[in-house]
Amino acid sequence: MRAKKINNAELLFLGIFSVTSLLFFSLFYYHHLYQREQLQLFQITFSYFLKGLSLHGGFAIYLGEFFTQFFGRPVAGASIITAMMVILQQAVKRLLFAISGRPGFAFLSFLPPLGYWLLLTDQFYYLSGMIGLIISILASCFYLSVRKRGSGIISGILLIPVVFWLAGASYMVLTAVIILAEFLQKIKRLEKSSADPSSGVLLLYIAIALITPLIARKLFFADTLLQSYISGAYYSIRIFFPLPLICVFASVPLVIILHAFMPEEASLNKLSVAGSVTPLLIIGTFIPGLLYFSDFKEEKRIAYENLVYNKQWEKIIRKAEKEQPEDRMSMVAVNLALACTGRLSSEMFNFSQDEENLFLPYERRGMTPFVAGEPFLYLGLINFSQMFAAETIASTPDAKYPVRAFRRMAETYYLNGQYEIAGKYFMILSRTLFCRGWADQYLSMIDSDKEAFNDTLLKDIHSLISEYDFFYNDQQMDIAMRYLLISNPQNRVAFEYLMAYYLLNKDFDGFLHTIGYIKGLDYNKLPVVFQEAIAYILTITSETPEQLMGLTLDQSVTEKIMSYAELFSAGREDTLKFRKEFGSTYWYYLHFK
Amino acid sequence: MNLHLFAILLFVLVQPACNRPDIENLEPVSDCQDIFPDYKEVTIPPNIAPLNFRMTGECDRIYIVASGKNHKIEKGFSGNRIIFPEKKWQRLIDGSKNDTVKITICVNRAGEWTRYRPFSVFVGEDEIDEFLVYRNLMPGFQNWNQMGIYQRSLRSFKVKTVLDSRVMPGTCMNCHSFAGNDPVNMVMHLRENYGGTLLFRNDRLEKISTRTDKMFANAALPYWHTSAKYIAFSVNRINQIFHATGTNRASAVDLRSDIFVYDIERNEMITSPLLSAEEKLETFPCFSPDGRTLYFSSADMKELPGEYSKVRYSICSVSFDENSGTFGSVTDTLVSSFLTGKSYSIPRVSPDGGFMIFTVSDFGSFPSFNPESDLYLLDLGSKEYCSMDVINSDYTESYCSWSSDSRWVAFSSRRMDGLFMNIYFAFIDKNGNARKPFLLPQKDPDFHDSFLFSFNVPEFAVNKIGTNPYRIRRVARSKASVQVKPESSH
Repeated sequence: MRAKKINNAELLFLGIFSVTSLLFFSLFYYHHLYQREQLQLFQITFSYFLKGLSLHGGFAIYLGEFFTQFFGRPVAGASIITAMMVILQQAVKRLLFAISGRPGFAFLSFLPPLGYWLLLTDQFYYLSGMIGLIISILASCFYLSVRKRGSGIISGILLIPVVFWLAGASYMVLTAVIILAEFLQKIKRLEKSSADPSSGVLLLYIAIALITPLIARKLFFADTLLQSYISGAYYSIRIFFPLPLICVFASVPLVIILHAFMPEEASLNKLSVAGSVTPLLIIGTFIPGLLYFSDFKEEKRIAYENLVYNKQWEKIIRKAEKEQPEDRMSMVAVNLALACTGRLSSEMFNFSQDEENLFLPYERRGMTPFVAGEPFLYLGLINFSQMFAAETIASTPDAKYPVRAFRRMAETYYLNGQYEIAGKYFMILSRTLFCRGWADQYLSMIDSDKEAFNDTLLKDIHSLISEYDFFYNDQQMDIAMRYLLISNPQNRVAFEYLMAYYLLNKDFDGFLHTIGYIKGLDYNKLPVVFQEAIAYILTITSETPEQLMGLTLDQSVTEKIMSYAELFSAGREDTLKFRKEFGSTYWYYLHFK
Repeated sequence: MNLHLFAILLFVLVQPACNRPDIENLEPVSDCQDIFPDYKEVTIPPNIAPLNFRMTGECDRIYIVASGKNHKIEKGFSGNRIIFPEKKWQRLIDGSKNDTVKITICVNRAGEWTRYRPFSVFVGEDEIDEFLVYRNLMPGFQNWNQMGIYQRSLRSFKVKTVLDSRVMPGTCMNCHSFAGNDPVNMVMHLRENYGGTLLFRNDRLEKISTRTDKMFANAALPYWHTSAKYIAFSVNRINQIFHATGTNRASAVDLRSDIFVYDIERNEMITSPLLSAEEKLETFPCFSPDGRTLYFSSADMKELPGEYSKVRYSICSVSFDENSGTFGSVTDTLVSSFLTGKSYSIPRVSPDGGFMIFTVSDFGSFPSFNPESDLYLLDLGSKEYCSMDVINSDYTESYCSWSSDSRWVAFSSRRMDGLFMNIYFAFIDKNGNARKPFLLPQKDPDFHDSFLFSFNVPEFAVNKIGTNPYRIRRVARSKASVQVKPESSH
C-alpha cells in the first residue's frame, strides 16, 4: 500500500516536472531553442559520425547535435529536452538505488536535471553536455552492477578513459561516483560489493582520471589544459571556466551523499520531515533560480531574428505593434518587415525610431547576428549580405558552422553566378536532414539550368543587383541605396530604405532629391510619412520646392500639421501630450528624438 | 566440411576475380577526363604522399593498375575513390625515379566495365623538402574564430599542429618563416590576444616586441637572411574594402608601408631612406641567397584608399652588407610597373640564385585579393621574365615558396573554385621551365568537399619544427618580451 502511494507520488511529481518543462521550453523558450538549431550544421553522413568520434567528448557532441537539429520544429525541442531530463533523473535514481540498495521515492534524483534545466536557459550551454552527464551516470550504474572484484576494477580502469573520450568532462562525475560509492559502501557497511577495491585501486582511478586528458592532449589533440579536461561538449566559449556546470556535476555526488545519510523514512514516509522539506527546499530554490537565469528579453529579441529567417513579415509587425521592441536589432527586423511589405513609408513612425534602426553596424566583437545581413539581401546588396553571413560563420564562439549562415552563403554565391563555390555550400547542406531537399534542388540546377530560379524571392533579388560597384561603408549607406536606385529605379525596397534613411537623419535635401523616384513606383497614393515630411518642408520654405510639384497632401495631414503647429507654438514642455497626440507622426520624431 | 563454410570460402576466393576486369581484353574507350584532383601528366617528386583521387562521375567500382619501372599496384575499389596503400605507393615511385608511372583505370557502371586510356605521372629524381608549413584560415572578411599553422609531412598525410586557435583562442597567427627552409630558425607573428613576434633560434624561443619608436606598426611579412643573423620585415598599415557587386568580394589596400631589417644579434631594427620613403610604399622584402641584395616591391604613394586601383608596385633591389648591416645608396628596378602598367609583388628568389618568382596583378600588393594574379618567373642572369603559363590559371595565383634545392615550388591558388586557396606544387627545371602542377595530396579525395579553410603561406621545411604548441603558448602568454631597439649609429 505504502509502496503504491510512493509510486503514485513519484509519478505525479515526474508528471508535473515533465509538463512544466515542456510548457516552459515550448512557450517561453521556443525561440532560444530554434536558434540553437541554426547555430549548428549536423550532417547525416558516416564520415561526420567518425569525425565526431575522433574528438574527445565527440560522441556526446554528435548525439547533442543530432537531437538539436529537430529544435526548429514546434514543441520538438521542448520534448527532447524534457525527455533528456527525465532520462537523467531516472538514471540518477537508478544510481542512488545501486549505491544504497534502498528503493523508494528518490526526490533528490531531480536535482541534477533541475540544474541542467537552469543551464539550458543559457545558449552558452549545450544539450550535448546533458547527454554527456547521462552517459557518465549510466557508466557509473554499469560499474556498480559488476559483482566480481577483478572485473569491477578492470571496468573502472577502462570506463574512465572511455567515458572521457565519449563524453568529455562528465568522466569526472563517473570517477567521483565510483570513489564515493566505494567509500559509502564501506562506511555504511551495506551489502558489500565483491568489486570492493582497495584504497590503492581508488588512487589508481584518480590517477587515471587526472592523467588521461594529459596523455590525450600529448598524443591525439592540441588543446588548452582546461579544455583537455572538459571537451567541446559542454559550452561554447572555451576560455571561460564553467562554474555553474561544475556545480551541476557536483550535484550528483552531493545527491548520493544526501541520499546515503538521509533517514530511511525520508525516502519512504511522505510525512517525515526530511521527506517533506527536501522537495519544498529544492522547488523553492529552483523557481527563483529559473527566473534569475532565464533571459526572456533575449527570447523576444531572438524571436525577431527567427521571424526574419522565416520571412514572417506580418507577424513581425503585429508583434511590434503589441509591444514596442526595445533593442536596435529587433527594430532593424521591424523596419525590414515594413519595407518588405511596402509599409515602411507609411507606418515606420508607428514605432519608436532612431537613425540607427535600419542597419546593424559591422563590428568585430562577438558573434555577428544573423539579422545583420538580411536588409542587404532584400535590397539587392548580395555581396554585403554574403559578407555578414561569412562573418557570422567566422565569429561563432564555438567555431561550429551555423546552418542559417551557410544557407545564405550558398544563396548569395549562387546569385552571384559563382556556382562552384555555391555548389560546395549546397553540397554540405544536402547532407543535413532538413535542408537536403532544398539544397538538392539547387545542386541539380547547377548541373543543368543555372539561370533558373525556382525561388521567386531569389529571382527578384537577382534583378535588384546593382550595375555599379561601390564599397561597403556603414557611415554612408545612403550612397549604397542611391546606387541601387540609379541602377534599378523599380527597386522599391531600396527607395523606402533610402527615404527612411533621409527622414531618420533629418536630411531634407536628400529627401527632396529622391522623392521623384516615387512616380516610377507603384504607390497608390503618397505615403503618409512622406506627406508629413512634405507638409513640414512646406512650412519652412517660402516657395514650394520644384521636386514637390504635383504631389498632393491629404486634407487630414494638412489639418494635423496645423494642430501640431498650434501646440508647438504654445510650448514644447508637455512632451507627454505631444507623444499622445502626435507620437506616430514624423514631426514628433523630428522635434523630440 | 560444413556447406555454409565452404560457400563462404568459395565466395572469398572467387570474389577478387569477379572484381577484377579482364583488362587485357578491354579496349580503351577514351582518355580518362573525369578525375579529381587532376593528376594526369604531372611531374612529382619521388618522396610525395600517394596521389589519391576520385572519379567525378558515378561509378560502382574501380579497378586500377599503376605500373612503374620496378613495381606495380593493382587494386579494386568500391565506389569512386582511389586510395593507394602508402607503403606500396612509396615503393612504386621510389622505383620509378626519372621515369613514368602509368595509371590505367577501369570503371564499372551497372555491371559493365569500361577501360580508359592510361595516363602518366612522371616521377622526377629530385626530392621535395620533407615538410610543408602552412596556415589554415577561412576565407572570410575580418572575423575569424578558427585558424592554425600546421606542419604537413609531404611523404605521408601526417599533420602536426604548430599553433592553432584551440591552443590560443582569440589569437591571430601568421607569417611563419624559416631561414633557408630550415625551421631551426623560425619567426612567426601573433596578433590581438597575446600579440607579438615569436623568434625561435637554435631551440630558444622568445617573444619580441618589434615596434620601435621609429616604426608606425609592428613588423610583418618576414624574410630571413641566409646567415640567419637578420630578418627583413615590412611594416604595413592595411585596410580592406568590400565590393558591393561582382565576384571579387574584397580588396586589401596598403595605406602605408616601409621595410626594416632586424639585426638579431644587436636587437636593432635598421632601415634606409630607400626602404622607408614617405612618398613610397615598400613591402614584401626578400634577401638574395648570397645575402648581398634585398629585393622588395615598391610603389608610388597615391591618395588612399580612393586610388587603391592605381597603386602599382615594381620589383626593386638594394644592396646589403651583412658585416656592417648597412644598405647601398641606390635602388635598382628589376621589373618596372611604369613600363607595363602591372603590379609586381612577393618576390621569391630560388636558393640557387638563378630565378625569381613574383606575382603579377592589375594593381596592389596583395595578390590573393586579385583574381587576375599570376606567377611570373624572372631569370636573374638575363633579367628576362615571363608568365609561368604552365602553372597559372584563370583564378588567383599567389604566395610562392622554393624548395631548398630550387627544383620545386609550392604556391597557393584559388583555381579549384575561385574562393578557397589551395596549395599546388610544380617542378622547375634548371632552365626555369615549369611542369604541370599538382594539388597537395590528401588521404581522402573527398577532402575538399567539406573542408572550408584556405591554405595560406606555404613554406617548405627540411626538418620538423623543433617546438610544440604548448611551449609557444607559454612563451606567447608570458609578459616578458624582448623590446627591439631602433637603429643605433654603429
